[in-house]
Amino acid sequence: MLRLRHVYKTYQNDRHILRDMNFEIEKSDLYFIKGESGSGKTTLFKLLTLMSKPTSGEIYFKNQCISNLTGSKISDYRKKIGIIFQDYKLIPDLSIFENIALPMKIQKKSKLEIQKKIDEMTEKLNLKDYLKEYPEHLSGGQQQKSAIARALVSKPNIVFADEPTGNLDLKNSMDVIAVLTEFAKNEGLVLVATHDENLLQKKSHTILSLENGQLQR
Amino acid sequence: MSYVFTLYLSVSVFLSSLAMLFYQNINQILFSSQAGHTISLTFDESINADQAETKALEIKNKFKLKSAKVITPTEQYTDFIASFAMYNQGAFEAEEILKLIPFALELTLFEQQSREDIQQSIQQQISAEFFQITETPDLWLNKLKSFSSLIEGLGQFLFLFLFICSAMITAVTLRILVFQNEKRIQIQSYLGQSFQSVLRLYLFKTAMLCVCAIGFGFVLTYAGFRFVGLKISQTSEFSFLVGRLQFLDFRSVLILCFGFLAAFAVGSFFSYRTMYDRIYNED
Repeated sequence: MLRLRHVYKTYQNDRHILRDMNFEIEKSDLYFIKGESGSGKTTLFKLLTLMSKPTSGEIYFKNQCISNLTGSKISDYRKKIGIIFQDYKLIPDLSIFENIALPMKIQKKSKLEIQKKIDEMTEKLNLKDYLKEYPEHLSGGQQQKSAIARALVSKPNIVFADEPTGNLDLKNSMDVIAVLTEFAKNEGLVLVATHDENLLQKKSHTILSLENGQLQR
Repeated sequence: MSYVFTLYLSVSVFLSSLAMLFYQNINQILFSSQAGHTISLTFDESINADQAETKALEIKNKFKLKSAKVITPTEQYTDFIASFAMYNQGAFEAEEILKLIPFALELTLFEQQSREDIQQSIQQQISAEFFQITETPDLWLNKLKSFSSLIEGLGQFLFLFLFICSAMITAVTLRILVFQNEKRIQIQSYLGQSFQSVLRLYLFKTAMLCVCAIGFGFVLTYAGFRFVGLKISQTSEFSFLVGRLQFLDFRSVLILCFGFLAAFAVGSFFSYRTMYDRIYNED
């Protein structure tokens, strides 16, 4: 499903963040990517979400090279993925309902379908009571759940989560991971970049280690 | 920024249209008063009305002129009195003056005919015994033509200058409008919204501002035009000009509109890449 071939990422000061990275994920599951701060987790995350381009090498999604996509092709790819950020990235002047509905609106889904999917997702994440609220009125945990709902609601092929539990307490962290695990079991691939030891101690998921610019199982 | 943009563009349209309006009216007043396309002849005092009519017809046919009109001494006297009415306090005795005024002939040329050539031909081919050509102030006219060309040149320069400035300010305004909402646009782009569809909204907003500014600029110019017309009509010396003043013709308005809309398009085009890179490339 996702393949990296000889991927390098070098910044202007000649610092190699990723060097000759070769990796392949075939099966839909939840994978943790662990690594020290500055090890390149966020860089890898940016490459996979096309926020940044590799210095060299190719990234394939379903056997199609995506690393050189531009313009509307990037948008088309992003419609097939879900992104979860550590700082949630909810739009402050939209209600939680509008925030969650945004990807489906972009994909021009019908109002009925949007309503149905939001009902399902918010039921699962215990967000039903907050749909009319604005992000600033919610706690960090509720905001992160809203961001997760937004990422999952359109049923993407892959979900990329960069430190999704970074600002959450243990209980909320476990809730978030439970939702992502369920999604991975039923819908698609989930990649979670984290250095949260509590999460990494869960042995039920594959842990990928990012060291010296290389990703290893 | 939107206000600054609208105001700037309105003032630019106002200045450009004012320059164009000034140029057009100068030309209208100075050169379409037929000064360049009429020749006036004064007959010898011995020529009577019938002879004057015969000569007029002969000249008209010979040189294929648009018209040849005989002006009687009475008509000339009436014009003269009308022009100097304020000084006519019984100073002029009509009969005495009428004796002194000969018949005159006003020749009107077709647009394509050269006044100088026709004038020269008349002098060469028609017996000079019975008339003389009334000299028009060519030098003065030529000086005014130069002045008119200068205004035209200045107007073109002003338009070009304002065009470039407008393109630049459009680019800056568009960028500011987009960058003010950068975070929101970025989040939308992460969710799969294409940059073109986001930009379309801001382009539309800026284009609306541009259209309003152009409209307001023309309203300002028209108000100025009416005001100047009113002021001129209140002066005794120049009130005759009021009838000749004309607002910008449709062609000029179109040129200005398209010019400033083109500046908007150029500005938008140049800011597209910068905005795209900032939203899509986070390196």
